[in-house]
Amino acid sequence: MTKAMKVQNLFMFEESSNFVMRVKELPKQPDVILLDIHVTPYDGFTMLQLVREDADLKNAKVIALTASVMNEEVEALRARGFDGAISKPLSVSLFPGLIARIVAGESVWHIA
Amino acid sequence: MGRKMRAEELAFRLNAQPSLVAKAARDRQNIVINNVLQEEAHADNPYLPLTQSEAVLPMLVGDGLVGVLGLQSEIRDRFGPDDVEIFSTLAEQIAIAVQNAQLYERQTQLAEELRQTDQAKSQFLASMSHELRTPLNAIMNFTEMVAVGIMGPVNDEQKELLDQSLDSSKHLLNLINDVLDISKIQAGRLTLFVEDDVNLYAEVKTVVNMIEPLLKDKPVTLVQDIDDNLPLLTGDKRRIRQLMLNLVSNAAKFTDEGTITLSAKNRGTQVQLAVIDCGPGIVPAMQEVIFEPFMQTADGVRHALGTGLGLPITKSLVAAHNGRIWLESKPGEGAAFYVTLPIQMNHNAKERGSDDYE
Repeated sequence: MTKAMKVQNLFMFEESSNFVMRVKELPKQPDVILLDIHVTPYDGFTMLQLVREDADLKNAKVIALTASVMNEEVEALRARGFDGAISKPLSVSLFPGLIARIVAGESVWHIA
Repeated sequence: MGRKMRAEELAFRLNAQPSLVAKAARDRQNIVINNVLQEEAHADNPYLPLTQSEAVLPMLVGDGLVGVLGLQSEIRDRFGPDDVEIFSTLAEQIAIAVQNAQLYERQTQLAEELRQTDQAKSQFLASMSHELRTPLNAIMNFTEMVAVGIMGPVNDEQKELLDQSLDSSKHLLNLINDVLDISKIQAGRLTLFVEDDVNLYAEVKTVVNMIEPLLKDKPVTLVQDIDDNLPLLTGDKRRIRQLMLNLVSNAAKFTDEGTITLSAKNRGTQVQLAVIDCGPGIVPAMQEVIFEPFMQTADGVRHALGTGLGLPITKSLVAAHNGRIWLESKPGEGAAFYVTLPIQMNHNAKERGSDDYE
């Protein structure tokens, strides 16, 4: 699947404490960061701000993972500065294609 | 005095005796008493003890009794024929005014009830969307994971069955999405996610990739006639793809042999899309009707693959983009569906698409 996504390395954190510090400890700095909006202790919006404020991370593409399927809420994500959004639950068949497009630089707003 | 009476909840029953007001209401006739001392039927009003003359006029609008106008005077013989006439006219006017006020209040009440129902509908649509898609997504995800071998090797027979299962799931997802879309449209709740870089070449490619598997068992060729100078559009990528897909999959459904042409032409401020098939065509009598929900042609019913929702949804999506859709067809000569989409959407058009379905 990593090949289908055109991705070389994939790292996943299950919860968001010390998020920025843990990202900076990774062997390579990420090009794409997927943020789940509804996690604790820091929610997706807080993490977005932390990323944008960090000199090393601010140019990464930040994509929101959201349970919302309402256009209005996704518009809000766009307004807050996310580079894209993918709605949950994720589809195994569609996800690799979406990531490949994001990695290629496209702004992807995949709302179910 | 009226307020006082209301405060003390003094009201007259229609059969009250010896009340003049009640009698006037019952009989729907004016009652005029110019000397109350001489009248047995008169009951003193405790708030107006000095009354000498009384006139009681029912207030009627058509056949309906709105109330009773009661006048009392400390002067005897106060109400002559001319006075009664004037007050009768006044009674009519007050009746109309009161009735209007009552209608207005009822209308305000209905409007509030409607607003609450409307809000309930929106919330229902949003949660239904999530509730229906979540388990189906789980079915599709897990089936796919097993089918592609993530959970271990799978033999050909197993893969075949899993793939069929997956096909059915996708079909079900399409049906659910169509029903949710038509519900949103009818509730006036269709909104677009607008981007200003919709690349028609990419969307055409996606649509073609999705349709070609449907045609592989038939002697049907999908022909593309796409201008090489198409501009980027402002609109909802997903919905534009959806409207093209609806038209092309209809064509694929109804064409058993020949060609289906998908064309996209640069028309300056607009782009014109067309889907032209070699199917049985559509009789003039059905050409408007098929854009209505749940209406299918006889051929459509025979094929029994859809819900009759594709075209009405497409029509609303086109309208939401401020575009036009029309059909040219003769029975026996196929059907051609044309859609024009403006390059720049008028911003007011973003919230349209809630077309007039009764």
